[in-house]
Amino acid sequence: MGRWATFRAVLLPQAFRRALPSLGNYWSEMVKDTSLTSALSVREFYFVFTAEIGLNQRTYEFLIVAGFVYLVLTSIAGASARVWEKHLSRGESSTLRSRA
Amino acid sequence: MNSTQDIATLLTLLTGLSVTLELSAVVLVIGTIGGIVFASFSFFGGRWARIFTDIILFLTRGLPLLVQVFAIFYFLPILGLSFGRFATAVVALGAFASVTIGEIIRGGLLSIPKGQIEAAKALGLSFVQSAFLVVFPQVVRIVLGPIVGQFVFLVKATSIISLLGVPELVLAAREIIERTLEGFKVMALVWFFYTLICLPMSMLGRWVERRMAIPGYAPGPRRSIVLAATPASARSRPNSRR
Repeated sequence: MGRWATFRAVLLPQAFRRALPSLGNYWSEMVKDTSLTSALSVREFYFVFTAEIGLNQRTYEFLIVAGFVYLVLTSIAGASARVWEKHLSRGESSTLRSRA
Repeated sequence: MNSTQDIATLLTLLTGLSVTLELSAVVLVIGTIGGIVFASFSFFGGRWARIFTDIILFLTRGLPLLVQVFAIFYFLPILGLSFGRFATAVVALGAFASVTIGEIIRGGLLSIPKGQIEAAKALGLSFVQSAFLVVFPQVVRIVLGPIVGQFVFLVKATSIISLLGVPELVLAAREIIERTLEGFKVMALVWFFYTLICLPMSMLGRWVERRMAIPGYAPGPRRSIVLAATPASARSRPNSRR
């Protein structure tokens, strides 16, 4: 196999599977970092929430709901990485899988 | 911008920088001590302690730092603790630092093979002796690199505190930009100041990591595919970690 074929067929599939756990971390990291754009007045979730809090003063309820939504989003990001990793590791021996 | 204004800008930024440095220093000290406590509690505290720390960890990892900071800002007064903005920032970032550093330390503790503790026991070492003579020296060497990396992240994370109204570097910069509309210049300076703090820190971290690396020890994933693809000459170097 040539360089490119080796990379595509042998290295990349294995490397990608091993990279998935930390990829999952970065996905949820990025979901969380979207909240920072509220400082630039992007009308995203957190910006809308703080605006609402400013209107109705129900700080605690709204913060708890916002936190819950972020927890769900980041959990989905993490879980999808785990499911994908499991799918890609099917057929691999369990010793290899536990090492990764 | 004339030169008097330039000097005023620089002075305001330096004041902000000093607040950032102060905040970072306090947070790093609290984070290190708190991290050791958190890791010990989680590692030695038994099942319920583990469940408790897992919940804290889930919240810390799953919520944006911004939400955590504001949650602490609004929820502390409910507990009857009303601090100033700076103290609230210290509590919020300190808690975050403790949990993340604690998790790094716990990972280090977990990476010590059980056989070593059994061997220490077989040699007649007490629990305290095996902890201080066998486990901790290795944990420190494994953990120091990642912890310095986390330190760098924490210094950068203090910028979030500008949204609480603590006049640190970023807030100082925003105020100057509102007054002078010199966004590019001021932000370039801010970038320069953060680099001035963080670059030496991360270089130090990499140096410490290389220096402290335990020969032959390489954490899990890295030894596998990447090293297998490199020539054997590079593979046999035990200290060739990142």
